[in-house]
Amino acid sequence: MMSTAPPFLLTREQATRLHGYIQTYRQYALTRLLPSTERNVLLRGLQALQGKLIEALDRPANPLRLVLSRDEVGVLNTMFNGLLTLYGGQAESAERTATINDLAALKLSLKGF
Amino acid sequence: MPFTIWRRHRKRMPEATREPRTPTSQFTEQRTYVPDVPYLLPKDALEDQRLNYQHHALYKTISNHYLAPLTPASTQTILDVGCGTGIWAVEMSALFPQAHVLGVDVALSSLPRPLPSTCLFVQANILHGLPFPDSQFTYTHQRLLVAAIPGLRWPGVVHELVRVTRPGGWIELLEIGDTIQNAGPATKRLLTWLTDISRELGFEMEVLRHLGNLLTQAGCQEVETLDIPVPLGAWAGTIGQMMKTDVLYGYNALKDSYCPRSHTPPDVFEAMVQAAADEWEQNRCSYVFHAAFGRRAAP
Repeated sequence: MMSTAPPFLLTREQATRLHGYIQTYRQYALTRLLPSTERNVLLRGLQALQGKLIEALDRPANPLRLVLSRDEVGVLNTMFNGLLTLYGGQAESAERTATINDLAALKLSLKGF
Repeated sequence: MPFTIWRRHRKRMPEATREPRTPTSQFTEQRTYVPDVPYLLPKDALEDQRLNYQHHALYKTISNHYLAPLTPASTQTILDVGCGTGIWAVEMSALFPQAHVLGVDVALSSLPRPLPSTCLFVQANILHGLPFPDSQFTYTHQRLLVAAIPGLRWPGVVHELVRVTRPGGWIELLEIGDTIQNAGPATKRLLTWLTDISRELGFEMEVLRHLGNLLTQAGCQEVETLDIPVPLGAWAGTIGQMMKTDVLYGYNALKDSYCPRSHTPPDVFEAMVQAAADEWEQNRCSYVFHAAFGRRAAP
């Protein structure tokens, strides 16, 4: 995978939440979606990104700088779309609204990558 | 899968059985076993073939050869406990070419040749402790050893896996459980039968639902647990068919152990398995695998 974009800057709080979203989506996909080539490619991409994020969080820097390839940006966008659909189907609550807003903001911050 | 330590009809593994064979007579030939260890599956060319098939089926089912969030930079030394045919270790050495991969098993008769230069295999039994100093590996992996580890030994085994892993390194466990989703009466009967015999022999399946707790109790942090429903049958496409085939071959491998123990004629057992397999297609059943991974805490 080629790194073609400037670093993706995240506060530690954003990075921690992004890590949580990746965990949630991996859990969802592994337990709810039937195995398929497409699912597995996405899961491997998210797994690698999770590792990259954990390595970044292990360092004391703030904000965190993640260098993302075009493929990785695509993986994140697919995950955001999946989670937005997932949370969008849940009953309305303040927590659901906050999560959807946060996901939308993270997705928006990837624009231009 | 559950197992027994019934050995009346077993024979020791002769050198001649170490060459690969085709599984044309798998339902009639006498199986061979590793002597003097409580490992309840056969150890022969047919079982090697099943294990390699299972490896590929699992890869397609769980999306990768591992679930922990590894990175090439942090994965320098990999340990595979219960490495079997060595296929996992060899494929991990291809994914992490800069890493040293070490496989451990009670018998090393099934390893592929030639081996990658970064792969090494050591004969050892996890139940006796691992022959390595503390904190040697950045990633320690163990899967599908339910047939080899009695229930009461699991906490000690997990502690041993954590001991040899470096602080900050990952430990990962993956096991098949005793739950099949959407099970009908034939499947329930089969599972109850298998689980009861296993319990009698000290192979308690309940512990496998708590792999994450075992990691936490052994000093791991950032523990994630997954109960992964693995589809059984053509209803889920090629991958479902592969897993169904693997499980059926696994049950067949257990037959020599379980049938004498429970005084069940083999043809009765085969009929019970076939009835269950029919349900898997009709009911769209999935076998639940239990996975957990976590990081060894810093001192």
